[in-house]
Amino acid sequence: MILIHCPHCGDRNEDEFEYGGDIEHRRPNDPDMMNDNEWCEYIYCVPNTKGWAKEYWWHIRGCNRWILVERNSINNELRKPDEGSSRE
Amino acid sequence: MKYSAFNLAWHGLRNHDAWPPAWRHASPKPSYDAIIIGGGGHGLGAAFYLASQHGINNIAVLEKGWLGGGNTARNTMTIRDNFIYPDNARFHRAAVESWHTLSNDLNFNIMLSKRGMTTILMSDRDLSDAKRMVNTTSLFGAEHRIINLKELKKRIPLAESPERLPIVGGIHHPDVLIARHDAVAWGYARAASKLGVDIIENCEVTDIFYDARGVTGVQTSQGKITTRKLGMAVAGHGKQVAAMADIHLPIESVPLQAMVSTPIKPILDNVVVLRGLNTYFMQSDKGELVMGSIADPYPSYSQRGTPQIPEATIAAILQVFPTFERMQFMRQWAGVLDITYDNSPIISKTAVDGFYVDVAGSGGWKTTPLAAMMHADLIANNRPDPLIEAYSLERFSSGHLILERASYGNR
Repeated sequence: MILIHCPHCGDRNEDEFEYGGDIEHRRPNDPDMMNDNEWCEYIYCVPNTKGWAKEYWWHIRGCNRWILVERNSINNELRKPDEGSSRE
Repeated sequence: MKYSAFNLAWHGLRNHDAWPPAWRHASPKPSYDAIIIGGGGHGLGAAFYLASQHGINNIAVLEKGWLGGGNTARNTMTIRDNFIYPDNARFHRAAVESWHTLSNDLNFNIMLSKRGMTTILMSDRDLSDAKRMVNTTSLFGAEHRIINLKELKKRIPLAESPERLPIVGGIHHPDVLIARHDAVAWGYARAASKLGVDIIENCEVTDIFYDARGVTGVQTSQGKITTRKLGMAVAGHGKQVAAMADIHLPIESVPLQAMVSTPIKPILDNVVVLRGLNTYFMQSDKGELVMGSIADPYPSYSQRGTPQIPEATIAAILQVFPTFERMQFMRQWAGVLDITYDNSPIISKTAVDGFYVDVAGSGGWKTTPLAAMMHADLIANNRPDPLIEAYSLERFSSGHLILERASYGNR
């Protein structure tokens, strides 16, 4: 069980959260201007980083807010992300 | 040397100290006609079929660690074909068939055992879903059958109907097999090595070279090797390896866990699936209960997985099999699955000529012989067999996904 630090609630068990994806996986500004390959790249080719990555997690069984977490995907170690802590 | 009763007896008389190694440990040559990245079942199989069916013998299999040390060693040995989408159903049906002759083809006992599978249904929803699945798969020749409570009790006498989720029936699937997973890697390695394939362990591919005409070679931890044909059969790190050739694979790496109990006397022949509880288990030949569940809820490369999965798996099994309450666990582990959005494999050409991939089986163990055969055929002839046309990389941009429910990791 990894302990995720929610800036609003403190350290909580991971099963209170839902994984929300890598923050590098950004929705393109203008999807209408993209061709099929570019759209496919956005939809299916998620970053899948091996090592440290910043991710969104949703504290669905807690304060219901989106938070930013930095996680090492090799060993699930966590550290405090160095920038803003909630998703707008 | 052929493995036979005669040779066993002969070596027995000589104290078993003169058996030759099963395969040759090779060092890389500067150039090969074809190179396979990944020394698991799929990779060694592809090399074996290239050599045995397509006459390409100047091949190397490059393995980063040791043979069969990845997901070939981490799966739960079950081979099933309860898939409902036509492309998947056809492929997996043929895949199950492809296991039957493997021990003979390789002259290596893979300990294939036709256990059958019994799915326990615990709600009306399970039952109607099951009817749909049975009807659909029967169109493709899979032998599923809905069984009533009486027959279920006879097949799985240990199952007790829990009050909260009473058992309403089951599915019997006699074709389901189990095989000794390590033996598959070893058998392929031995047979391929005999046909001249160089099997190179501890050889990590660190870069892939290509030009406008296609693949030209690979950089490895044991030096540069040139080739015009490169096959990739990597599990867990397919994305990273393909990225060396600037191919972006649409996969995510998610741990799938399994665990085993201490060995007990034989009590269970079938593989048992608790459908509504997303759990399955069976008893291995060694007597251990081998159990597993769904993939982890978030991507990771950790080969341990999150503890909530084993907890839920054990809770699910104890609901229906309270008799196992005092059993002890021996091991728990995870294999990192490369999962595609539609949970179906990619066996395909890529944008780089001469670079082929066989990845993301989402539990690719059960298709090992057929996928390897198809991969070899693709490498040799540069065009996909009709059986794997649907597994092309283009399906993601063209929208022809095969959204399969029977795969692991489906959410």
